[in-house]
Amino acid sequence: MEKKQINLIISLVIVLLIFGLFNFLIIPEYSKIGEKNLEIERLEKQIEITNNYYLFSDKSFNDLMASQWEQKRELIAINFMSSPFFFPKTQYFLRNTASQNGLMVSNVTNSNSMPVDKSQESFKDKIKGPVKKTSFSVSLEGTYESLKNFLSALEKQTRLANVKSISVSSTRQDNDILKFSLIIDFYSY
Amino acid sequence: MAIELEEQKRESSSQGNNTILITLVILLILSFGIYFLISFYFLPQKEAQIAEMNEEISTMNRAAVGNNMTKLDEAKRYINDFKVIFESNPKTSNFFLNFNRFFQPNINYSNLKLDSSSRKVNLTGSAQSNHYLMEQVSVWENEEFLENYELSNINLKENEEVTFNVVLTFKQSLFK
Repeated sequence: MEKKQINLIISLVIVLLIFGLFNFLIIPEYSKIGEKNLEIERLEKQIEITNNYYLFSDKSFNDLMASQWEQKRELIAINFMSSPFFFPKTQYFLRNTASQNGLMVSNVTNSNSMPVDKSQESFKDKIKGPVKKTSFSVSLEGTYESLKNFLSALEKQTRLANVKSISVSSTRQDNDILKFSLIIDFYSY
Repeated sequence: MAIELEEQKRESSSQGNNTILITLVILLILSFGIYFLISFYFLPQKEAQIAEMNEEISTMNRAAVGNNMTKLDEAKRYINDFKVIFESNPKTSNFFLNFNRFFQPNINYSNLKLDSSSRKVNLTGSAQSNHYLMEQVSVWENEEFLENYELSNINLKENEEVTFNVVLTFKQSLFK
């Protein structure tokens, strides 16, 4: 074989080797760099989003604390606690509020609690927590002015109470003293 | 002379072949160089950068933020539920505060039944004269808070005394 032919064969082998190197090693490795760059870009975005989220939550939390939420929470927390003493506590509250406003309580009974989302309440779809409704039947005696004061007191305090119905009838003994039957719904978690 | 020329031609052709071969070998070496540069320098560098970023994400103070978010969620739920229920609750005291404007003073009313969800009030009334009932109807006709009224069981006695039942339906604005 002539030297020229040997050179030609070696050249061909080298060309094939270069082609193989590019095709099977360099190009795949280069595309891996592209993938890594994409992943870096994604992680940079994730870090930015996470940082923004943390900043936002920090700011919101600080704003909430600055608005004295802890004190306000204490005021309304009674509605959002699940306690086995809810019934006796509410009965005590009703008796206490009635007597403070000059009404005599003859009877207080309550129904079982019912989840608001299973009730007919118009606002049930707007509620976010597990709110339950308990109806209390209250029988009272006293003057018309006392009832007005009692209703105003109920509306001004922080327990979520809804006076659903009121029946008024007169007593036989005294024309000023009336009998009141109220159904009051209380809301709690 | 002809033999010398032939040999010179062969030599220059052989030199050309060698140049091509050397160029190809250099290209081959360069290709290997590129491959090793990518594999052992650029890729490990990128992988290290990715590992560093993952580390940064995992070391972000999740516990403190998680605690803040729990409190924020609780506040959001409490405020929403309190607001929704509080605003939905009818203020029945408004009915009693405005009681005198709805009723004629010369009519005796009894058996009052108020249903705040339907905004209906049932009453039994009695008056010494039909004239007072007419006045009462006139008051109801002009009352802005009243949606409608239904009189029933009107009973006119010989001594002009009149008894009746009435169902008054009030507008929602009264209970707000």
